Amino acid sequence: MHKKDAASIALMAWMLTVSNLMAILYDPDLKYFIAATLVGFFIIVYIIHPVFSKPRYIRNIYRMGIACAALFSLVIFLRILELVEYFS
Amino acid sequence: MNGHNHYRIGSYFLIGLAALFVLAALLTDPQGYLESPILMLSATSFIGGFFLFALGADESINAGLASQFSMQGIPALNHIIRDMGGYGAATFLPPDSEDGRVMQFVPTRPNCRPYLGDGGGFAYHNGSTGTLSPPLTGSILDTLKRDNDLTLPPNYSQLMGAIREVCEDLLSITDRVEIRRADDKVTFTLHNYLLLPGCASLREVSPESCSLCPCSICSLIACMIAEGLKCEVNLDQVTLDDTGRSPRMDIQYTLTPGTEVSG
Repeated sequence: MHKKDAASIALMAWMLTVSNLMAILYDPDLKYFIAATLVGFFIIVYIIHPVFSKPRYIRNIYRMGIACAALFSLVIFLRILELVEYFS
Repeated sequence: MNGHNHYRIGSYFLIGLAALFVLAALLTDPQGYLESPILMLSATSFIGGFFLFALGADESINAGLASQFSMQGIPALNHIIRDMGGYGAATFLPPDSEDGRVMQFVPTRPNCRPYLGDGGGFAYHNGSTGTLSPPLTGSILDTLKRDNDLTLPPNYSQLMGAIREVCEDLLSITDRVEIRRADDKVTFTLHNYLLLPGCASLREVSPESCSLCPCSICSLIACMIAEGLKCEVNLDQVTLDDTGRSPRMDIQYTLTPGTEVSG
């Protein structure tokens, strides 16, 4: 199996596992789900990332990674705001 | 249909599914849709769809035709080399300076030298005369370095990692590269090698051409080894196997420390 196929399957399996676990064990919340999903995404990108070259697809993954990092920051920022509201 | 099309179709399917899930979440629970598990499924499909879209960035090609295309002119070139007295196996010589390039030395038969005149344009290497020319994939290696920031580490294990990346990720011509080393012999096994039909047709025409003037991936790997490890590389043998579930090609090289070449 090619690395890219394995990465796609791993990401989908991770996302479905997280969504099911959150639905079973915890009140489902889209923000936490996205945060947990993106952690998996970053780990998978780190694993499949080529060391000695930059194929074309990895440049697209970089762009997606930037968008995901922004989304991840937004989720964390909203969580911090919630905590500030809770303690004030 | 090839792999890249599968990625694109999969991505469109998942993004479309994500839109349907959002609609379903809104219709089933308009007030608390943000906490709906269906919305998480939608996010799963959306992120997965974009991931597949990013992975399927390369243009699709017909591998069978591309393999034939890459072999155009190779039989004629081999014919010319043989007419000039070329025989045996080509040697890939490492660059002689920091800005130098890998060169390919093809030995010529001693009895052909008088016929060729004063020997102008011929080189001497390890006591034998031959032609010295840039290898067929020298330009591809330059392109990979320029456009894909390819680096060739001087360490053996790292260089093998770079060769794997080139075959599996950059060129995507094989699913998996297996590398075995025994003393100075290194064998590369390319599993599910996409350009096998072209290699098979070339070997039908002239079986000895693989070692006399290596082309496509055999030449590229030899260039990478010669440049990375700064050693001479000879292609010993190429074995094609298309009897199994996935076509396979074994390429065996001999690595020797570099020696001087005079022109």
